[in-house]
Order: sequence, then C-alpha cells, then structure tokens
Amino acid sequence: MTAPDTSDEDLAGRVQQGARDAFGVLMDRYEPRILRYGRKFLSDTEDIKDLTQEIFIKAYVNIRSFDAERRFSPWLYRIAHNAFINHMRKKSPLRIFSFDLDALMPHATAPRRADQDADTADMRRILDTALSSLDAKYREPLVLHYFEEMNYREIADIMRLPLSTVGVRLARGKAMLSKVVGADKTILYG
Amino acid sequence: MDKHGPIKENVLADIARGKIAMRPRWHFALRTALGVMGATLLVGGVLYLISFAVFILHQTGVWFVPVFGSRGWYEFFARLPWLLIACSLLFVAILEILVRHFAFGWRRTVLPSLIGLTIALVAGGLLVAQTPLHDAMFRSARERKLPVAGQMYRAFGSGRLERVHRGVIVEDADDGFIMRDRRDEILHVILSPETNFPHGADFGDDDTIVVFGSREDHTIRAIGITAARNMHDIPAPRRYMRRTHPFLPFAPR
Repeated sequence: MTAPDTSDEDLAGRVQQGARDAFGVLMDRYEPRILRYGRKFLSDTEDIKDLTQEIFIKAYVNIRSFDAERRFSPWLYRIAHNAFINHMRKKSPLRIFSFDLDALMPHATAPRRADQDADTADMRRILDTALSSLDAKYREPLVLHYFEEMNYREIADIMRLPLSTVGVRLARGKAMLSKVVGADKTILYG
Repeated sequence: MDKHGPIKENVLADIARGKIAMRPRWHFALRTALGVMGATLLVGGVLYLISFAVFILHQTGVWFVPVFGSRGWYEFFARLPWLLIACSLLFVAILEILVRHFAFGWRRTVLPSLIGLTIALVAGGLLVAQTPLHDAMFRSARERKLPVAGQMYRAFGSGRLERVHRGVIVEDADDGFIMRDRRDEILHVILSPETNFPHGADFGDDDTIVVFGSREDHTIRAIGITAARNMHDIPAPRRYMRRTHPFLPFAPR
C-alpha cells in the first residue's frame, strides 16, 4: 500500500527495487499530465495514447538510470519530449530539423518578476486557446513552464537547451502570444 | 499488448508477464563509462594532434618564420599542416557533440562552449608539445623502431621546404656559413646586408637556426635568420643580443 503523500522520487526508488505497484501509482499521477503534454504537440488522440504508453514503457525499462536525488518529473518529461519530437520528425522532418540560432549564441534574459506569477492563470488560458498558432520550439517551453510548472533549469534539461535559450524562447513565445491576443481580444476576454 | 486499451493496465500487464523488464544498473554505468572513455580518447587524440602539429612546425622551422614579417607570415600559413588541423577540428566537433549529452554541455550555448573547448585544447596541445614526447618518438621513427606512427613522423618531419630551412651551423664561410639540415644535407648559407636577424646574430658552431630564403641546389640566399630551439629546451633569449658572431660579415640589422 502506498501513502498518498509519498513523493514521486520515493516511488521511483521503490520501483528500482522491484515494487511494480509503485510504478502503477506513478502512472496514475503522470498519465493525465503526459496526455495533456502530448495534446500540445499532436492532434490525433490515438497517436497521443500510443506514445504515452511507449513513454511509460521506456520509463520503466530505464528507471534504474533515474537518480532518486533529483526530481522525477523532468526525467519523465525528457522521455516524453523525445517521444513526441521523434514522432513529429517522422511526420514533418524539415520543420523539426531546421537549424536553431538561439542555441548557438548566448543571450541575456530578464529575471522573472514576482508579479508575473500572478499572470499564470491568464497565461494558461491564452495558451490553451492560441497555442496552435505558435511554432513547436516556442510552444514547448511555454507549456512546460505554465502548465507543468517547470523552472528554467528543468526546461533546459528536458529540451537539452542552454538556460539562456530557454529564457529567449519563453520571452519570444509570450511576445508572439501577445500579438495573437492583440489581434483577437476575444481570446483573453471571452 | 492492446495498444488502444487503458494505458496503465496494458503497461502493468506487460510488466507482470515479463514482456517489459528494467535494464540493469550496469547497463547505464557502462554507457556512461563508454561516453567518458570516448571523450577522454578524443581529448587525448586532439592534444596529440595539436602537439604533433606544433612539433612538426618546430622541426621544419616554420614555427619561427613569422618573425620575418609579412613574407614570414605568408610562409607560415602556407606551410601549416592543414590535414592535422582539419583532423583536430573534426575531433573537437565530435567532442562538442559528445559533451552536449551531459548537463554541463547542453546548459551552455554552442559557440562559447566550442570556443572555450578549442582554446583549452590548443593550450593543452602547446603544453604537451613542451614535453620531449614527440622528440623521442621522432628519433624512434628515424631509427625504424616506431612501428605504427613511425611512417607518420617520417612523412611529416622530413619533407623539404623551398624557403624555410632548419639546421645546425657546422662552420663559417667567407660570405656566410655552412649548415647541416635535418636531412643531413650540407647547405651553404649566403648572407647579405639585407639579411634580417630579428633576434640578433649571436650564432656559433652547433647552434640550431632557421634560415628563411630561397634554395638553389645546396645554396641558400638568406632573407632572414633566427635561432631555433626545441619546445622543451629552457630558453636563453638574451644570449643572441650580446655579441656579433665572429664570422658574420655584416653588422646585424
């Protein structure tokens, strides 16, 4: 029996020791989140379900590579990121393989202000409605930051990107969303 | 496996049936060890190639010719071992790709990381070049005691250049001196009032020098002459400025 307040990391540690039921608890916690994450990239529900199943299989197969001293969610999202990106590459290779200048040069990023956190709920609403208008490379950090509540470092680790590039993509993604919202005020105000 | 059934039930059922199994810890430890070993080999390879390129430039005398101004620089770039440099750059690129698989690699932007890595490896290569490693290997190669790399040392180290000549002063002559080069050829070096001595002209028998100038048969008309020393020798830079060589027919410029 697993206590509901057992941390993901403890559960992952138990799975590493062979406790299969602990993996079931992790799946209960993360299956809806991974499905939601997948819906930000793909539209075919069956594809998303199949990929989510693959993600959990990969997570189980590779669980012993997880370091229980670190957070479990970025580790799982890294597997999910790879699965969804590989799937998108198969569908449209040219778009995903395009060279990315953002990761080449360092960028100065503005620190996050406290009042920005208050905008998170609004941002989620805007993202939900206007996300499809964004390129995948700007969409993913926004989703990870506002929906999955990952910090810059965790996003950098999931997407294997420099920290400054994560900052730039978040800023550009938000700027692009502002334009969309500016053009269509109904998104923000209903 | 029912791919379209409930995800959790499918996965747990496959685990229970043994269709999905955890990879053992040693699998990941081995992968990390192989990555580290690969990176170490690449670093070693780049350090070896860079230090070898520096050694070759010393052996041929090309390393010293930039002191003769624009013509010297032109000769320097024309005679750089571009094949070794290309191989080194390829290794650095592979190393950068490998490093980007680790958190300390991907958290940094590509360009500064690549520049930093290149600077560190060039500095490391210069340090390795200070050791007698290549001298010893070159000697073994000449004595045919170096089975694998011997051919490489002989091929890179004993080619003849048209305008750069490194050798040891054997004796003086009326219009210059006689020099034995690294291929054991005896060469007559002719000096003129135009001959440039950027670091002075305090040369004597058995001194190793680099002569910059065109060669015709066994005669070189010297445009410039400078002292050459091995990378691992302790430098004695001011010695050359103290006096004029006894057989030098002209005052140094």
